[in-house]
Amino acid sequence: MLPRGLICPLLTPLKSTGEVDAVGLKQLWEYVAPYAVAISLGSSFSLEGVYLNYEQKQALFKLISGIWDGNPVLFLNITGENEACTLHLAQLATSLFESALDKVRIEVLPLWYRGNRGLPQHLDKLYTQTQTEIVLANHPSIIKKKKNILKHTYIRTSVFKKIAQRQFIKGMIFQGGLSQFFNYQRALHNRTEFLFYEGDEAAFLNQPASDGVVALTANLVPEMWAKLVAEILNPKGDSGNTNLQEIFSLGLKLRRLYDIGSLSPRVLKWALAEIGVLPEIYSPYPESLNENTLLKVKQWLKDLMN
Amino acid sequence: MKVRQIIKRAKEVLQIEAEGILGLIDRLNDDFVKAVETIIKAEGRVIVTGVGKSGIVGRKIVATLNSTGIPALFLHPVEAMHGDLGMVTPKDVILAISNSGETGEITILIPSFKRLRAPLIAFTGNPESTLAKHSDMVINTGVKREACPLGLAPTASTTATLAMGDALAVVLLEERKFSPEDFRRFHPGGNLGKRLGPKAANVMKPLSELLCVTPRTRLKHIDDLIDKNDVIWVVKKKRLKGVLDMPARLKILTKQDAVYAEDVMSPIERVSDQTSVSEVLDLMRQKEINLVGVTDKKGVFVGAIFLHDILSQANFSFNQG
Repeated sequence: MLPRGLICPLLTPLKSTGEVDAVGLKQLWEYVAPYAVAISLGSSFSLEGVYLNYEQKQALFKLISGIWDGNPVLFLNITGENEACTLHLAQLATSLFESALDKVRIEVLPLWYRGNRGLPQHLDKLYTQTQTEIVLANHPSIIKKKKNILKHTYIRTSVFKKIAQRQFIKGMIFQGGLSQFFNYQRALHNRTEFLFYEGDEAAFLNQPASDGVVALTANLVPEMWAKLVAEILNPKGDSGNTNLQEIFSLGLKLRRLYDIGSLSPRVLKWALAEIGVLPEIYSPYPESLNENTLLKVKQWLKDLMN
Repeated sequence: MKVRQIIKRAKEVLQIEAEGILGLIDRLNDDFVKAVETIIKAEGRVIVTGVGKSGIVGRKIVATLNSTGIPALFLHPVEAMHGDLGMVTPKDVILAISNSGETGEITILIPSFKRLRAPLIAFTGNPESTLAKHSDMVINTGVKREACPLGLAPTASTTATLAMGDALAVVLLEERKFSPEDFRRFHPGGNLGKRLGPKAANVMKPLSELLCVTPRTRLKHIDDLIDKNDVIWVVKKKRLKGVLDMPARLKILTKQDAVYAEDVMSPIERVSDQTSVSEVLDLMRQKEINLVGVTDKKGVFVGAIFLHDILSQANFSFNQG
């Protein structure tokens, strides 16, 4: 069973050489892990996960296997440049976490490296190899960045219908339009335990999905996110004890941070470096950081401190 | 917000609410059936409890159950802790509503419910919750998405709970063979009640639309009329004397000496124009007739009521208002 709540797509601390920074990773893990029900490693929702190469992901998984004590649940994004690379990563991930596979899930963004055709069979193959429950990622905005105009950015509903019949597919991190969400929901005939995590923070703040959110900005403010998600998913509102004003104010702050932080992982890395969590701000994400954005995040941090 | 955005947003909200209800269809399971059977077998009442929005939904479910003949009452959890729990007996069935399933005011009552040994049904969006784990039957009313920003106000979840309550009430109603007449008895203010509430004067066919003859009208003069009309009213000095209906026609054929209408006419029931339509319906059912004459307070024949006219105006419906 998948956990419900806040999932943090952990940023990958990298040195300017491209090597994974073990110290930064440990510090970031300790900063974030206590507040999330699950941590997603190498996730496309961290914006940089899909740009990590095989060696970087391999190093990331190995380092985390040394830090992780079984909590929280781990989502290992094994999406690679192509199908072979993905299967290799899947094999590596399951061998590294063999002793605690009940607390590990495989996360995959299949449309990054292949099309819709034959996708159910591909997932069957992935499961046969890993014997680990799979969480699908639907992330059209990052797939669009590949600039392949023929590529589908969404998993087609008819394909999803077939995928949803496979019991080892336990959930989906969803980003996209409301209509598509409803199409997927309808395709889930009798899969009551299937969870949808919202992959778009703004959408979660607007129309919260009831199973949880994958929030990039939780790398910077995990406690705020944890508080907000707990209030939304388990509202004390039933008894009228919720401080609505506080939630509203938290929501507004996070919305402002999302507007700035979702532009590039470097923004959050810069902010994390400012507060002493990360030593470096290098990211493989292709878009560079402009001064104006940095000024905005500086202002946001200043407001938060005040 | 611009006009288009307002409409777009409103559409989204309605779509989320609708999908929330549709999502419940797949979640219906044996526990729902068990809940229906438990309530039907119960000798006591359905005690519904919940706080906040769930409490409001609970009160509506109580109202629906009561109007469909299933005795139900609302128990406020806080009042329950201060003595109202005494109203619950082992013969009752408890229906606890909490979307999170962790509402303190409800979970604190679970041990008391257990001690009373009354069956506990949970309406919750969280089947892993404390309430769900301790309930005998769990009906999942969860939705995949709330419509309100930050979920500040439960929206789709409360709509889904309300719909599930209606589903329960309607299934119970059908299982208990609840008739339209029963519905009127319990719910005179509702749609059917309103439709049956009017007086005879409001629904009767007026005298001007009825075909009338006098008792001394010769049958041979009205042969054609008798053949072409189901009913001919026999009236003398504005007083209803009888009708020429199907039995009267048979008499014409068999009674060779019949000359006048009064020789073959059938007796007819009369009601006052102030009699309620529901009473007219009762009279028709008791006497097994399908038409009555209507007279005013002076006994003057003013019109007639036909059974099919009433039924066409009193379609059974759950719509209230």
